[in-house]
Amino acid sequence: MRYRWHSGFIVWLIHRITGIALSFYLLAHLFVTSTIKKPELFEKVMAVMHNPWVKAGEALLWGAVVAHVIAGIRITLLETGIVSTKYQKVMSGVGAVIGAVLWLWGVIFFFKGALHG
Amino acid sequence: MSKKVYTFKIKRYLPGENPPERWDEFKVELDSMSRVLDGLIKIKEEQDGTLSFRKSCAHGVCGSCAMKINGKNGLACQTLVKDLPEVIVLEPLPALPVIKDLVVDMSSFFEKNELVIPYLVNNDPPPERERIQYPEEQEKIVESITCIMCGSCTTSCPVFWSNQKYLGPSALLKAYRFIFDTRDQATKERMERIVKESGLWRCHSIFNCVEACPKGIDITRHILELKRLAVKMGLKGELK
Repeated sequence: MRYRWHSGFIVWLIHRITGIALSFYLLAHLFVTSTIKKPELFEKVMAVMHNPWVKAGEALLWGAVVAHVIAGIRITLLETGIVSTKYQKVMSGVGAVIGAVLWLWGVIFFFKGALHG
Repeated sequence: MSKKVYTFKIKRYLPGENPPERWDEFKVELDSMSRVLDGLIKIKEEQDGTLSFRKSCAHGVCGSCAMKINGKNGLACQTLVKDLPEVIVLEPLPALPVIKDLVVDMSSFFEKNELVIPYLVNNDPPPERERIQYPEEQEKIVESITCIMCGSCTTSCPVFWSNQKYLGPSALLKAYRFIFDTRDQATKERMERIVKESGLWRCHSIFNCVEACPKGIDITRHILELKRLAVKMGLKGELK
């Protein structure tokens, strides 16, 4: 069914999708870290982490985290009544800008690490 | 007034035909101040008498002509054609069973409205004149009173699309209208009804209802106030 999209709908969808994706990631992350018991194995996994493709994955992951956190803060502020619902659209816009800046900062940080180490 | 030819692309549903669904296009000449409803009436009178749609007051009061106009719910009598592109796409309200063309079965929508006890409950003996309400008390509910129950909000809600049992913004707004009415005494009973599964907590503040409401009511704000009241009452152990 087609229906016109609005900022509130888009933010809700992003919040949902990143939430589901991050919960799967968290499971995978806990599984991997709990199975590494030997130092050599740890070094091996760390070596894989420097692969540019893994770095790109990290950038994606960071994006999901930032989007999820900002959407969560927005909805918490609205639901608790700290910020009026009048500003829900403005909040989506401001959140998107803050999210983009944080994401870029993170990406630069990750890739700097990849180049130097 | 300048005249212009508009193409009405209408989603038809004709129960007797196979397949019952199809898209029809009608070209209609309308002046710039015409409403979508004027176009529909013109089509029915001059081109296809079998086209079905609901209408009554034609002035944004009765709520009968709610439909999906160019991908967004609204009233056909309140939407001017000059504000739309040359191709006007009309569909019935989403997520409700279609009876014919743009006419949907609103029974479940009104049943949900009844669930929230949509009338004033006051067991005190009636005073000589009316039950008094001060302007500042009226202020709290005045926005919710303007609801015309057209169904645009509930049928625009993604939660309702996926769960037809969900009370929906319209019924919750009605609950708010009486819960925050200082003359009413059935707050506890109403709250207990709306906090059940498929009730208040299914609202995810998506704001589609606010976007769709032809009366410009900030429905989400009202639902959020109900949520906060539910938390307060729940913490005090006032809700079952």
